[in-house]
Amino acid sequence: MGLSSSNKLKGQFTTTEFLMIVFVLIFLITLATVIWNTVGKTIGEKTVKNELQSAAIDISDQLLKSQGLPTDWEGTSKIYSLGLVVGDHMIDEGKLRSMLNLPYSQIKSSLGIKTYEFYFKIVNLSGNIIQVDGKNAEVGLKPDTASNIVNSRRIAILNNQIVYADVITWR
Amino acid sequence: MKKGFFFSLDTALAVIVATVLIIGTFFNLSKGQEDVFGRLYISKIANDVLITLNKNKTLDTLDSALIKNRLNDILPDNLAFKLNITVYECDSSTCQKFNVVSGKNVLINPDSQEIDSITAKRSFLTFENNQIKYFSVAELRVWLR
Repeated sequence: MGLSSSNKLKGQFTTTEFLMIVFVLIFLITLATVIWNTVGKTIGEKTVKNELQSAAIDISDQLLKSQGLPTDWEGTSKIYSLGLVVGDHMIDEGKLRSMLNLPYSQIKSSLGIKTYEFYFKIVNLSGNIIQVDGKNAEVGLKPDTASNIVNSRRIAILNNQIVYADVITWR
Repeated sequence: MKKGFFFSLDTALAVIVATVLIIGTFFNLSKGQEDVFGRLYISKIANDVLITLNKNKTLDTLDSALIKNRLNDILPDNLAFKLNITVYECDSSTCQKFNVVSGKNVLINPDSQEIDSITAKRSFLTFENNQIKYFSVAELRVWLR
């Protein structure tokens, strides 16, 4: 028994339908790829930024709220933790002077910094770097070419003057 | 007619599902971009300000003009603020109870419109002749302009 022409076509794709399906499929795959890449990139950037922000706040808290460990770390070679103050937010010039003379690698390890870089400076309310014994109150590496930079500007007192303590973390 | 009807319904359903998925993805993406550390940082700044103004004895003066000038000098330009200092004094020499001192309270920018503000509080003592004269509570509200 032979099939009629209408039965032969039943369930078959026409060329137009096939092209439409291919077009829609390509569009959906492209869209999914773009969204996937955007989500991945956004999450990655956000993770790095969060890490740097968290680090900047933690480091500024550590420097401005603790005396360090040992508390007289400026007179010892074994420093477990750095801290710059004698009282809450009262920066001790002696501790600051000692920190300025420490090697960058030692400062990083004393602050628990591993996967990023940091730069620290103390400026007056006009934005000029404070001088300690004729030396700029700044340590660390400046983020000249970094793509991710976070600045945590905190307020403290040095020699009865209100100053800004800038902690910049970058990668 | 019927063939075309089913095709349209399938398409409409697929488009609705795809739209929901796409909107959901972008909604979650934008949510993930909210700055979670921004508020923490502003809170740190507000507390820093009160601590430093307390340590350098500016708050003790209870001088509105002086405190306002210092706050304007210290706080970053993108932050607005409101300060309220409530002053108490001892009811007797044994200082068992504190009463609010009317006329001593400090109010700076009391009418500013707050937008999602963050509050920092600090209490401090004012001494006179080596005796506690006043006990004060400073409440600083800070928000992004």
